[in-house]
Amino acid sequence: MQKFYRPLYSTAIISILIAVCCNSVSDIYEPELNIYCLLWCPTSHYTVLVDRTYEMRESSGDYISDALVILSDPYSVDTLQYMPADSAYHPRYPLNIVPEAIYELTVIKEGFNTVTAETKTPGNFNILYPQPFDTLTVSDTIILTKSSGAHYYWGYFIDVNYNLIPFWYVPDTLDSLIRIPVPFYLHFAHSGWYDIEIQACDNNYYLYSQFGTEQDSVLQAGVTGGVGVFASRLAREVHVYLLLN
Amino acid sequence: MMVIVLLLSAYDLRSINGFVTDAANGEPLVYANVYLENTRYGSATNEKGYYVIQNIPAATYTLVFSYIGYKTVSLEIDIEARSITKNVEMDPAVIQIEGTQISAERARFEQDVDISHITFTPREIQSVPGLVEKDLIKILQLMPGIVTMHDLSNKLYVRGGSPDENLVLLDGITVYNPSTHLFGLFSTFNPDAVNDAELYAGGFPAEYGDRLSSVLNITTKEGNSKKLSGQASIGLVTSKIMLEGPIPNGSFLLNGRRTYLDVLVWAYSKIKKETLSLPYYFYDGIAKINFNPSPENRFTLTGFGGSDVMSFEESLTDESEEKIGLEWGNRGASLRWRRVFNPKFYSEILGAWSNFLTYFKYEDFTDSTNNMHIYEEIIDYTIKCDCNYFVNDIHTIDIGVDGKILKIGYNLDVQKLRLLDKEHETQLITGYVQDKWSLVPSILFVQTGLRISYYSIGNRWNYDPRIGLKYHFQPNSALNLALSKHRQFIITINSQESYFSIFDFWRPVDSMHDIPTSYHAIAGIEHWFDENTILTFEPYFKYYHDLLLPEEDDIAFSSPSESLRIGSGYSMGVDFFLKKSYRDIFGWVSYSLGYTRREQGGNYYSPRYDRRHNTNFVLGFTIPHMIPLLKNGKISMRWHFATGLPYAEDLGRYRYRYYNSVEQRWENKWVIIRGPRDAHRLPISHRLDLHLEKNFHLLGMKGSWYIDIVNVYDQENILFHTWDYDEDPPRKESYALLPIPIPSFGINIRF
Repeated sequence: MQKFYRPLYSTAIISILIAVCCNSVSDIYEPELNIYCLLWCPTSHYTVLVDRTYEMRESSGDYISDALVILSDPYSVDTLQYMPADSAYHPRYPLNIVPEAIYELTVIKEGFNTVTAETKTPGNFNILYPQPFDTLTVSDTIILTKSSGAHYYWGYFIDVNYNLIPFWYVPDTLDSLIRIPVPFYLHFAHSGWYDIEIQACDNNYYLYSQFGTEQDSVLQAGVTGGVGVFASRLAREVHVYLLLN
Repeated sequence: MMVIVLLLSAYDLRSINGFVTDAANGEPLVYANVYLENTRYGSATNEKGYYVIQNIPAATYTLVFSYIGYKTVSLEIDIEARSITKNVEMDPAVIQIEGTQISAERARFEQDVDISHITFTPREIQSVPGLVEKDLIKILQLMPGIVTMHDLSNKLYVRGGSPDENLVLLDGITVYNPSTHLFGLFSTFNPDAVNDAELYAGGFPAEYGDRLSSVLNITTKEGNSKKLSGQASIGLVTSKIMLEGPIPNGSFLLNGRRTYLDVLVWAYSKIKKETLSLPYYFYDGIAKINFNPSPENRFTLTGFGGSDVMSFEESLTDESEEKIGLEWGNRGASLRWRRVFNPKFYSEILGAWSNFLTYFKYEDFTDSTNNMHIYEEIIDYTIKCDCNYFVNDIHTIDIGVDGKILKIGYNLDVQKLRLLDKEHETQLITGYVQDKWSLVPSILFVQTGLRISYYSIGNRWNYDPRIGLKYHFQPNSALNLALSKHRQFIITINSQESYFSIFDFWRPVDSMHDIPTSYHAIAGIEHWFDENTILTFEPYFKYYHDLLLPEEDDIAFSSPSESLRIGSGYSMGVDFFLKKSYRDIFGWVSYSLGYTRREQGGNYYSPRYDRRHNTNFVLGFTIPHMIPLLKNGKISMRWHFATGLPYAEDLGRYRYRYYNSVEQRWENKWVIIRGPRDAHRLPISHRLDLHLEKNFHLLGMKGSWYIDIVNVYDQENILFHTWDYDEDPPRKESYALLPIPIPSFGINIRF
């Protein structure tokens, strides 16, 4: 019978070895800053939201109000100030956001890695067709001149009640003009007057707009040292009559 | 073939050959000892029960057949002719499960190059606790080198290989989706009909191929050739019946199994005039006929089939408005002809058909334009010839050829219009030669082999060498070595890392991709402490290249994906196995240490089935006489202890600001920062299962009842975590598959 205990000894030894070897991995995650800033071009108004990421077992808090937020272009620097009304940082010495310029954002907050971000604003473009007050049908094509640096065109049909019907277009590098077919789903809208707003967006905005189509991704649209988006876009608008059969 | 036979017949043969079978039921006895008394001439039966003793001087001898658990047979023979054939039936004596097995294992240990080879008998299968229903695959999961994903998993992850890398054969028929019953919880194989199951966990010989990791070869019972007998049983989920008996010059076996809860619900519904129904059932069955027109010829016809059937009918009125049906299942048939041409040479020719069908239908009785039918089917036609030539007592050559036509079709019909109709067809022709040679008798054995295959897609020829070596450095100790190369021509396009999947979607490797290949290197030691205690210790390394793996996004679901990516990988580890029996007690301890890594696009990761430590402890014994109600009953237990599987943990969260165009305002939503897919591991899992069995006599029939309890001490082994984001901070919730001890019971009647 004594020999029979050999397996028991072996089991005990193996169990101890496994228990020693099997310390579970602890959840190591260091929170980072989370930045949100979209520049409109041309304008001199911009805001920056400074937030943070959270560990899973950590309660969420408000936006960060005591960070150092600096926006710069090659010629000037603006240190933004926090406004509790919208929990955002606003310009103190506003920069002019102009087409085809590079802007840099730096956010410093004690206890977090410093975030740096960069965007290059898209170049100017024009809407060639339709012209203001033209009549448009769903078989028409919207034609734009090309915006240099634009990775993405994002637009809306906006009716009188301010209902938005979106559309988008990713240009090909060989495009000399941007041709965007009027979305087929406008069939389900109604005839009437619409504003068409089209935005030429930089690559960061493209990454931001695509975010969420895949799970498990971390949004880092132009941002290093943290998460979030720092992007720019330039908009054009035209007022048209949409005619549906 | 005839030329070979004639050449072989030209030799001067003085030998004794034949088959050794169990007198009670005609089943072949594997590794029975056969020898001429007071001489050095002797042999042992092979896996078919065949033996041959060669080069014997003409004289009168006493031929002895011995096998532990059976009465020894002695025959006086006079060898004057060139050869004598003696087929012998041995009568069972007092059968002791452990004794019988040890005897066969000892013969295997002494005579075979048998690396990473595990065999199971029905008694072992029946003696291990089962979850609701006994299952062969779940028994194999107790062996070293084999891990499972979770408590209910019915798949075999062998030494870091995924389930689709295992070749599964039932009487020579390739089974493509072996674990499909009850949504993947049970295998297609009814353990009552299984005679033995052998698993090559790696380095398998040249006669097997077309898989990267392992071979599971299941042989069903031959059928009782002596008398008509049967067995019926009823368990918690299924009822089973088996009939076997003699036919002129042969035997037959019929076996069937079906779930019955749907029938009970239907009957209750009829009696109570209610509309209750259970829209699911499964069934399977095996039929086998053996026919021996002469001692040299034997024909075996096997058929098997089974299906899982789901059917829903929806109605808001008294009449059905729509019907949804889903059916899937295996079926197959084989005809085997075994011919002993002369004592040194016998062959087997096998023709087999295998089919796996998945069928979905949706019928809208109010609007037939919505009707939809989807089906996917695998059809495998195989013809195979294996020849065994016994050169002399220490040298055997096996040669075989194998032709396979594989058709995979899938289509989609909507409103009688075929929207999708695809079919892949491929041919695979294989030849192999295998040489088993005892270079130094009883000390050094070498088994070499070469497998050559032609794959019709891309007209590719492949050469896969195999070599195995066994060196007995002590009478009770042997060193095993194996090196081998393996390929797989048919792959699955769904993730093998899913916790639950009913069946796989198979596709042939296309001409755009190289054929997935693996190399096995195994070095092990086998030691016998005494006749009842065996220890094996096997380190291994397995390298893969040209794997076709689904993308990571496909892990969570078993959805078909055409977006396979080329990958590579390796697995390595050590398997430890200690088996012991002592009087009425038997048991074993298996332990595996394994590392499995896969690579895609230059990134290495641990797949979800990479279990680092895996231990199983099995113990069975006869209940002592002092317990009156249960005396001579049997208790067995199984304890499982393993480290957790890797998974992607949610590490953090942050607010994502977006414009809600419907609400026309900016909003925030929480986005999860998920860690790497293998950075975290689930907690350690462990579980104890118990099995109690007691024989009884009823109306002249023998029977037994059993009780199984799974998860005796109510351990919650975590399968996955989720987070409740409605709370701040989010609350982590963990889910286990067996939240309570689960009992099951059943009764078997033998007649």
